[in-house]
Amino acid sequence: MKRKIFDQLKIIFQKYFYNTKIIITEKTSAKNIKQWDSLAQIGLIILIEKKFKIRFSINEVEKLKNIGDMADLIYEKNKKK
Amino acid sequence: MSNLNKINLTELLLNKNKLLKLVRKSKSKFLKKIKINIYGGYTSNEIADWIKIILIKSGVKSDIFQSNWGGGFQNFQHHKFLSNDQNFFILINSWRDLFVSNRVDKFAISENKIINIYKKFLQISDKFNSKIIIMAFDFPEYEIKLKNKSLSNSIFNLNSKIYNLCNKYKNCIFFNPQQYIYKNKVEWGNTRDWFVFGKMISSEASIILAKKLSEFIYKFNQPTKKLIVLDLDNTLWGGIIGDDGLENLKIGDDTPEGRVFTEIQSYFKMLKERGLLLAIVSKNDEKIGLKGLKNKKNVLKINDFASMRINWKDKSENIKSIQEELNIGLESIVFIDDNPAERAEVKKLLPEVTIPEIGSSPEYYIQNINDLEIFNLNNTLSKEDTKKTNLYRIEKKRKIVENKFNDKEKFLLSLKIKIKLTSINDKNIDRVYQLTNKTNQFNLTTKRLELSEIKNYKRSKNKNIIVTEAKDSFGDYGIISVMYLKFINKNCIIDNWLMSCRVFSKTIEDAIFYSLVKKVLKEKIKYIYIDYIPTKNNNILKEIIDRLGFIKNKYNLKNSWVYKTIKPKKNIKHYCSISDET
Repeated sequence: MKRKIFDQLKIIFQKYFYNTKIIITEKTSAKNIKQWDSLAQIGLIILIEKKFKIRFSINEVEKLKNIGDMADLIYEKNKKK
Repeated sequence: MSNLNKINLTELLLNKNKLLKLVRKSKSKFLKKIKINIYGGYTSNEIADWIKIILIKSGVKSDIFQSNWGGGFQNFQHHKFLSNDQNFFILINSWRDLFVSNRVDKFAISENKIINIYKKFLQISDKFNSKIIIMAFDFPEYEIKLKNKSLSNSIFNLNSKIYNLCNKYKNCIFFNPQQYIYKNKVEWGNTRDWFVFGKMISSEASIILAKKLSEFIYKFNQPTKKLIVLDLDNTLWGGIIGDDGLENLKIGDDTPEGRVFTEIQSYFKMLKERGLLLAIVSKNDEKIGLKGLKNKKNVLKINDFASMRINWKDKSENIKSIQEELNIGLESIVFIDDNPAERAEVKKLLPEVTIPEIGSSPEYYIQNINDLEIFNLNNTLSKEDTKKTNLYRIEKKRKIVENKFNDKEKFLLSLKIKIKLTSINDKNIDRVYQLTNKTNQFNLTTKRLELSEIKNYKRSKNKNIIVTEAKDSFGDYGIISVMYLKFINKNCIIDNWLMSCRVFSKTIEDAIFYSLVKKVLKEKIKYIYIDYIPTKNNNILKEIIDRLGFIKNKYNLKNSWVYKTIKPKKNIKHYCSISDET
């Protein structure tokens, strides 16, 4: 289940940054991707919310540092649904 | 631009960077360039990005400046204006700008101060001919009531005051974004995004808003719409008069569909009152169509239409013929018809005409037309325009009488044309400006002048601007001619001369020139010079220059013609009585 979420996230990131060659692991964060600036962070979070039909709280948004964090949180939130 | 609606907004958000890359790659030498300045108190990057993406599809490359975050509308007080016709401003307002940050108990600025900032901004921007779109203040997610003031009330007041201000400027649009976003069933913004990202407007709303703003920007550059050509059956009333009969047409208060069409007719009536012309093109027997137009239940009466073609010819042919009759550019025509086949026919043969897709449900016709924003700009109105329908109707009567006369001279005499010449003054300068910049056919040089340039000309010592009004037994034409004169060493030079096409072939130009000659003779001026710069539209002047008695300047100056006042080549003949008050 977590794997599936991670793969979906990968596609979102590749599409959003318009680059299929981006290497994405669980540890990938804004530090590793040049285009991942604060505006991209907003865009990505809003896209993820739409795609997975969830909503992050302020605290949750603050905690999302790398893609692994994102996948974990999406998994947790989906379980509660 | 319209296909944006059909695409899933989330898909668009996902592909934004890809689209932006296409914008950056687009070859700019084929594109029109404009500069847009967005001023607002919060993140406007998304709106800016989408405007770039949407405008590129209409062949416009935009360079967008965004104000710093947090400054609010106060930012634009310090803007340095550039004199540039392609300079656009988008001013975004939010209720949060009214408060000290995150303190809903403390107003940061008074209403009066805000209005003054706007007043100043509009005054300066008008001088520089900038185009401005002002967004109304939005309403908060919850009601804020201070001891002596409610926020909603403040916002209502502010918006209505700013709206009144905007109405005074022809290059300014005031628009309520929140209402528009809600109409599209999209979230306006949410508090989490505000506190985390400083973002007032949701990502989806930003796309829809950018689309609307791009439409406004695009419309600013389009020719003003002047004529609406309307179909009859199922456009102005429900049903087909030829099949259903007059009694069964749906119009008026007694049926739901009738009420819809009453509202549709009143919408066009309103546009007519604002200065647009209306015309009918309908496939019907003329007698039957007219019967429908005379229906007492109609809001629109026969007199509301400047022209009509009720016959079985192709609609494109009829529109072309109305266009020639009223002398209006095809780009200034809007064609409204419920039948997709008719719209397609006109679209194919007259692609310049604007043809709204009005849909198949009459109750949405007006909204679908209105969404195009073609009639919502302040610059569609002018005092002279509001009288136009009547002028065209009078002209038609004149034509009918003219056809009864076999003898042109007798017809002209019967008109009892009177002209009055005056110097330019504060009352007629607006019309002088309009004629100078709009006349294409009777225009010696097609030199366009700014209002300030006209004022400078007027002030110069050896220059004068002669303005002519005309009327005849059918009615008043108003101001129809402007002549720019310069006097150097006992020579008179006509810098420019223009005349409205409404008064062609009535010897009015001959009468104007006759009185000029009479006047300069008194001052012992021997020569009158003109420069005639031919264009594809002003051929008519070639014949007139010759008829008046000008001869080519023998010093072989290109385009220069001369008239000898003492020994003219021929005598000027005209049929007007002249009162010269210059």
